[in-house]
Amino acid sequence: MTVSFRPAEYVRPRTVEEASALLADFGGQGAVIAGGTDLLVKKPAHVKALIDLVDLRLDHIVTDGSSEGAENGESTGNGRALRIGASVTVTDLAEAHHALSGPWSMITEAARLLGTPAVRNRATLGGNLCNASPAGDLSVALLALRAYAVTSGTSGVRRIPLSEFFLGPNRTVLAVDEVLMEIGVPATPAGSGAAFLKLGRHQSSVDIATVSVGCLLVADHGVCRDVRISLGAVGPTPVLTHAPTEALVGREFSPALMREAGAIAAADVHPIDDVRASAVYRRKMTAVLVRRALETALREV
Amino acid sequence: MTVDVTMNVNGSRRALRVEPGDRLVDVLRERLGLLGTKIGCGEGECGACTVMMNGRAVLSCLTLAVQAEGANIETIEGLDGEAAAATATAAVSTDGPATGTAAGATSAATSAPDRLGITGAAPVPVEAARRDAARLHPLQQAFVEEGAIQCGFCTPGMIMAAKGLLDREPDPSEARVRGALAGNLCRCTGYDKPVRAVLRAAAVLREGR
Amino acid sequence: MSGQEKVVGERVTRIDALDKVTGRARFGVDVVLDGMLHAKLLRSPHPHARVVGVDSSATLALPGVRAVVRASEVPRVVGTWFNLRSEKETKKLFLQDDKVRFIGDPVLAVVADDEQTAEEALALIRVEYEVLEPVFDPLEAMERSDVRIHERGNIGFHIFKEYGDLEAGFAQADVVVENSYSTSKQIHASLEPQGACIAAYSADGVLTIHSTSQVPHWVMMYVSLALGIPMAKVRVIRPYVGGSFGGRAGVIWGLELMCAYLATKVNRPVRLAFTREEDFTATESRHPFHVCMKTGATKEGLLVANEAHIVMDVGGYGTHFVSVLADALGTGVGIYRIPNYTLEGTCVYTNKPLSGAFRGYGNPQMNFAQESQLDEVAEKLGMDPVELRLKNYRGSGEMDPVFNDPVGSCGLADCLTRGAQALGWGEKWSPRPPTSANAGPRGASGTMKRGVGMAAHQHGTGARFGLPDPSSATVRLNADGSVNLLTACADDGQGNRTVLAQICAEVLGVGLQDICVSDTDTGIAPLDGGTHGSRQTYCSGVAVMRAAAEARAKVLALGAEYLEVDDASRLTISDGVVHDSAGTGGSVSLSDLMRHFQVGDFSRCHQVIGDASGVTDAQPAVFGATFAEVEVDTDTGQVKVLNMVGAFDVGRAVNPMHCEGQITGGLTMGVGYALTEGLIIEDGCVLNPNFTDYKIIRAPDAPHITPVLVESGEPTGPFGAKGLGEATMISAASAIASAVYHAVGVRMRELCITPEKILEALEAAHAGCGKERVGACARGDEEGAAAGAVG
Repeated sequence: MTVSFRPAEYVRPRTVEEASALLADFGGQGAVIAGGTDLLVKKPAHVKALIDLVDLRLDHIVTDGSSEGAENGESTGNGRALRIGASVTVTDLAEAHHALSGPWSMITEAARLLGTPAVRNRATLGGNLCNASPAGDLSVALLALRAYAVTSGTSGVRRIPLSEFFLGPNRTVLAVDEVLMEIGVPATPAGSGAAFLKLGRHQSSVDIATVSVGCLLVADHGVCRDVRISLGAVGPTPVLTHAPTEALVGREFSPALMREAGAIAAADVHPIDDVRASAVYRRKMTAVLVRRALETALREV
Repeated sequence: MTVDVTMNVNGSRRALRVEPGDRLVDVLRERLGLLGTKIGCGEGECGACTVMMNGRAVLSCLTLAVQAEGANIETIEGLDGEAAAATATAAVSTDGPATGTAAGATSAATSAPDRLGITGAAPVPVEAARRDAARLHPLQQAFVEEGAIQCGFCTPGMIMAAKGLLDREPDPSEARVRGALAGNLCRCTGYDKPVRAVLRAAAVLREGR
Repeated sequence: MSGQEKVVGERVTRIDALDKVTGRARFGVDVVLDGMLHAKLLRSPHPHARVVGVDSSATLALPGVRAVVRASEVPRVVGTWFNLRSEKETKKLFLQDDKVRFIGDPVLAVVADDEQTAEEALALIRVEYEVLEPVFDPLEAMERSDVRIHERGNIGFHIFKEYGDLEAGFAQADVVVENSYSTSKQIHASLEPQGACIAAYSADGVLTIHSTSQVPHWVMMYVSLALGIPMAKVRVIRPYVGGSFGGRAGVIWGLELMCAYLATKVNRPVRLAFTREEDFTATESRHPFHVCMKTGATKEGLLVANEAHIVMDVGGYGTHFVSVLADALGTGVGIYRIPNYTLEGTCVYTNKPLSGAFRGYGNPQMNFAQESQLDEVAEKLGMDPVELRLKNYRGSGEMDPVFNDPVGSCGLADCLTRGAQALGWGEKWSPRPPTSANAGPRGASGTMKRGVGMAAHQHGTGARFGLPDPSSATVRLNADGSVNLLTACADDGQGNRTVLAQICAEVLGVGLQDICVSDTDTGIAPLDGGTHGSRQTYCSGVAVMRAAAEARAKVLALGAEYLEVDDASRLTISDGVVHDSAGTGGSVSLSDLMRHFQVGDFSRCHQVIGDASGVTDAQPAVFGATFAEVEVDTDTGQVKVLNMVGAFDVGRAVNPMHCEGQITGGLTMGVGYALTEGLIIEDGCVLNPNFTDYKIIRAPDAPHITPVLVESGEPTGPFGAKGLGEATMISAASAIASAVYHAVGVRMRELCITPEKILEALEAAHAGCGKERVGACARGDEEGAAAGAVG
């Protein structure tokens, strides 16, 4: 096994525009580096130039009162939307209990379960999303929250719903010159509850997800008004499963209903066999985790 | 292309010329002779390379030297009294050659290329100096006393990870300690005594505060 | 063993603690020699092939490349130090040919000025292979005569041992249990990667090798014989080593011999080091066992017959395999009083990375099968599994049929009873089938089921009767009363160098701080078998005792002369002072005494030296019992080990702190063996050659472990001590499997026990309609939903 990661260039742009220009210049041979905890494991041989984003200082976590409504257009319950800069570290996310309260606490949960402490201290939100692992913990959590990516490139700024962001394992829609700047999370309506659950290979505290679930639901006197379920490690990208939504909306939550929703989700996914788990097990665990996520999210309402 | 970086390592300012792809762990070990930080896997999974960077535990095998520009780096060598005394007199120095002896198991401290200032004090018998110099950090002391060290390969990384916890959380629960050490693999101890050692050190540090 | 010792039995700090905790300790990977060159191996991409040609012209033209050497130029070690015993045997020790037999088998080595150049050089080499058909399954390999991995075929060894009359035995049985078991290819995964070796060849023909091997003297001999250098001119130095667990019990495949040879070729020091991935894919790991076992017992719970058929997957080459099988035989047959026992074992080559020595050495595998059998027998008899062991174990003084020797010290009964007590076995265990009480106050609700299990084991100490097993020590006193202890004891972290210092100090009557233990250096220290077989405390401890005793006798003779006392035997030494307390009351400090006779009296100038070299009187068995409490999530199949107790008869705990460390470490490694570890190999390719996918237990997942030390007092051991290191992980997996059964009623007979397998077993049992109770699957939806546990 040869280790031929030998970038010859290293630059620190001050602005996003500068970063985009550099990426355009270097073409496919340039790579951005934030924390570096994915890049330096992969050590891709084709990378000749490193573009360090540290000086961009995209490290904000802000809630603002602008009415970034939920995609379905309903009036916002807490009236506040969330914006998280791409350079925010996973540790900062895991510790942002005050800012990420209510349904958004599932982001801190996903952050808490990601990797190990030393990895979390360097890994960034942007890096995790752009790595586009099908099992990406933050990807799965944010996907359930209807998050969108804000990117900037030489062609301008884009807002991309996360549901359209991932193309395949380790591939996103980002153009060569595009930099992910921040993630926006719309406000959630009253009666929302959310949960993020992750299953490893065994009772292990540290693992890439065998199956993970993000769940955002809205309940009104025990009746389901909306539910959005994201899944990780059961497809080539983090995915949404809409089938359970159709089965749940308008019905009263009950253990049997949640079990049914789990079974529907399991039937809706197409996982593969890999060294971590079989497709059969992943389907079974999809059912279990979706059920448990619904139960947990309902308790959070 | 080479890049000039300046970082503060165990209290000493270091100016180095590095390649963009040089890992911090290799710079620490090979350029600065700080062999206490280990490479167990090179992929960020074992934690043996854990150091402190700007007050946080990080994996030096997944950190580039260029990313440590202007950073405060603490390694295991910076924890005990001897290093603290040495760095007090060290001036800014460029990296020295990587020296190490073909060391056997009982060798005394191998050379770290810090230059000690000549103080003109009377010579101290070596053994006494060694004992004095071992003004161990409470974490090191606790690891020794609890019998938390077996082969010792994971020990530096584990201690730095523990320091990363205790610097921010002076009174952690056992679960929190285990969580802080989740990134440090140990094949020898089963973690029991290291966890006890961290809790013991936490108590000592709280008393000292 | 008097209990009046001052140093032995104390929880002393290990002598290398300061070096290690300050980061000053230099491990194999840290050793740097001026001017050293760097070597890298090109490894076979094929599981079975012949190397037909190598074109290294482009490589040799690359600036900075010094040499390219074919692996076939260097003998490979395919045996153990057993093969040193005669010239005929030694011929079998080495293999030299052009074949490669597993993916990752070294084909050639490149030596260059730096690592980067060496890597670039590898990419330029063209190798031509004649690809041969591989075989991966040992059961298939046994049958295939058309695919021959080695010249003599695919069967490396076969044994059939018979004790008593099996048929008659089964005729007496009221209960017969027959099952197949299989175990995984666990790898050591020490924190210091396998394989950093630096060799330097001096102008006067002395070859110095810095190696992490557990057995430096055997490496010295291997290198000497392989390269034709006199043994006196081969020096093996061992730095600190970051764990071995058997993975370095010899030379590491493709490492020391190649590195030494390269050094002689290029006349510069050469460093050869493996990456973690090479460690995972191309170094030794634990033999997977396939065991068919049939066990018979009377309704009173007496074991009357056992039949075992073992197939061991050796991999591409055998190093430790015959002895591993012998260990399985000895420990399996030895532990219980089973009058009728046959064991058939076959060691089979396959085109996979080689198997070798690993903590327990065949016993964990055998134990998993045999103890699982006993667990099932106990259940069928409605008997407490602890009681079944107590009824059948072979105790002190009883004849062991394998060694034809009576059992020496045996603390197994104490291990069983004290271990059970420590876990709360009496409150937590009840015979299955469980009632709904299983879902009650013990904490199980709905989908989470708890259970307890146990297993017992016997292991050995040292290899007195199976292998050359020398131990030596030299004790030298200095003019200030300080002591040099020269020993080639190999400390991987167990703390055995500290223990030997404790023993030396105790015998001499000085403090631990007065002993300086030498480097592990064959140029300095006399012949020692190194660390394996849990032997250092016992075997090397005996040597240290003898050497120290000889030195002590000489000190007393000089003391008598100095104090003008007739009878030296009435003098004592304590705290570094020689006393004539029984007589005149005179005394002299050891330092004054030594200074006088070394440099004070010009007519003497004599250094007190004590020497010992030889074997121990016995190969004592060590005993233990592991108890486990688990919680199984029947929705996911995941198992959490809540509590474990490891009770071990160590003879005497020379350093109780070290013993506890071995127990917590060994049991945790056993949890990994049971639940998380195993190389996944497909078509000869290791699919999980990294820590991401080869799962080792981490701090948050380690169970709470209670160590219990039983001291039976081994009369042949130093202060009563015998071995411990391997014993600690032998019955852990068996105990966990037993606990899983108790929790959810399914027998897991394949290691490692994954959640998927548990789920499949639960579903199969449920489908089997009530033959075995299955836990949550029999429960209604309400309870399942109410569980609410987070995955």
